[in-house]
Formats: sequence, C-alpha cells, structure tokens
Amino acid sequence: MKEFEEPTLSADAVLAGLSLAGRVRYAAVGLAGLTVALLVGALWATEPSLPLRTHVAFGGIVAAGLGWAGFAGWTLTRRVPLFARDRVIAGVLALTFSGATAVGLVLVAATRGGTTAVLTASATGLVLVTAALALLVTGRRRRAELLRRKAALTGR
Amino acid sequence: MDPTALLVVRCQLGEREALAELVRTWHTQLWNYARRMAGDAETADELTQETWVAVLRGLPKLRTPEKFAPWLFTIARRTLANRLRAQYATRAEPVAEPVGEHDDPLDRVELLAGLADLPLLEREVLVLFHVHDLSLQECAEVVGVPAGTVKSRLFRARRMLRDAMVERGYGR
Repeated sequence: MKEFEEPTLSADAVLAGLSLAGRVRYAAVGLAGLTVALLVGALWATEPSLPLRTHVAFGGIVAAGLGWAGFAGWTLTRRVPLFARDRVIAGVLALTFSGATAVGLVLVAATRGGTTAVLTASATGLVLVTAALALLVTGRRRRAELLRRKAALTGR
Repeated sequence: MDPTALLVVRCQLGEREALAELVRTWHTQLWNYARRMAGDAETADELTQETWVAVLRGLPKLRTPEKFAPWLFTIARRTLANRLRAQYATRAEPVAEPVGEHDDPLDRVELLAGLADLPLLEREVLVLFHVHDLSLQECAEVVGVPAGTVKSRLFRARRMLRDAMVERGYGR
C-alpha cells in the first residue's frame, strides 16, 4: 500500500544543502594549524631572551594554529561525515604533516637546545607519528572491510 | 542482492554518486512520512532537510546497511519528536487491548483519507506499517517500543480509523 505525493522540496535541493565536499580540506587545515603551533611553540620555548612583543606574537601564532586544529577536529568529529575514502586521505595527510612536524621539532631542538630538548622533541614527534599511523591503519582497515562487503553484495 | 545495502556500502566508501542516488531513492518516502506526521508541507520540508543532515552524519557509522530503512525512519522520528515534543509528551499509552484475529485489512482510500484525524502515536504506526511497508519488528525499532505494543497500537488505530470513517458517512 503506497501512495506518495510529490515533495515540495526536491531531492536536488536537499543535495545542494548537504555539504558533500570539503571534508578532507578540514583535515588539511587542522593538521597545518597543529604543525604551525608545534613548530612555532618549539622555537618560542628554545629562544632564551625575547622582548615582550615577540612573546605576544609567538603566543598569537600558537593560539591561532591550535584554534584551527581544534575547529577542524570539532567539525570532522561532530559536523561532517568522514567516509572511508576521506579517512584514508586524512590519514595520509596526518602522517605527512606529523612526519614533517617531528623532523622540524627535532631539528629545532638539536640546533637550539640540549639533550633534554632533543629527547622531548623526539618523544613528541613519535607520539604524533604513531597517532597518525593509527588513524591511517584504522581508515584503511575500514575501507578494506567495506570493499569486501561491496564485493559480496555484488557477487564479485 | 540487496540494492539498498549495496548503495549504503558504496556511500560509506565515499562514492559521491552513490550518496546522490541514496538521497534521490529515499527522499520521496521520507518527505511523505514527514508530511503525514507533521501535517503541512512546509514543516515536512524542514524536517526532511534536518533528517538528511543527521542521516549523512551518522551514515559512516551504520554497521548494518541492510537495516537502512528502519534506521532512516528512526532518525526521522527523532527529528519529528524534537519538533512535536509537546504532542508526543501529552499522550500516555492506553491500557493494552486484546488484538482481534478478525482484524480486516485496511482499504487504501480509507487509510489515506483518515490518517490526518488520528492521534500521533496511532498515525505513526499506521504510516510506518501500511504506507512504508516496514515489518512489525522494524516499526518497533523505529518507535522504540516492543512489537506487541506496535500490534496493539495498530489494532486501535484501525478501529479509530473505521469509527472516524463511519462518522463521516463512509460506513460499510
């Protein structure tokens, strides 16, 4: 028993209202923000004596970077769907950014700080790279699981 | 092969054209559900749009693609319940009634003509069961009550519908 009226709101209007693009863009923006915040933070922490206005400037840059990272994180987890393909792309981006950040942190620490600074930078870099790798692995696993399901459903 | 499950899996993989196809396939049903429950087209437009946003957000995490239909209507009902909170809250479940075995099938014209006069809880199960062809168990999942309660609501709804039609002069 089916009797459907033609909707006054068309499916195409719905599709236009749904943001289907830009998910990976958020991941890139967030990761870039985090990288800037960490690298500038490392420079800031290892600079021995700075005038007040430089402290304010460094603080502003770190806050802006963290702000973008937080905004992107909130958007990706609460506002937009992250499908399997997006998760894999976001994972690759995360690994690239975290790898670059880790190298940058260790270089800054090695040229400007002592052994403790190098060890701290290495540990931070390792945590970042591990987290990114975990994101990439879970993303790829989910995609593989869905591809298997698709193959089973299409009988191929 | 379950075409809806395949479409959902393709959406979960991130195939853009599958998302568009999913919306086009289910939009008319979803809008009509909202229209019949909310009563006017304008509210149905808003509810449908809100539901699609929520569906898209939850789609990557849907673990049982073959249960897409009840999941979709559960989200639609939640969106509707937020909007019609007052109407849902004021109704207490009447004492369960015995469900008659001699319950005749409903006439399509009767059903569609009388739906708007029914209270929300009864209208809801009639729409889900008879118009959208969900099973008793699926209706129970959507509404969040045991299947027995759905059965007794359906029985009561059909009786109310017939009484209303008799009053209007459609009597048999």
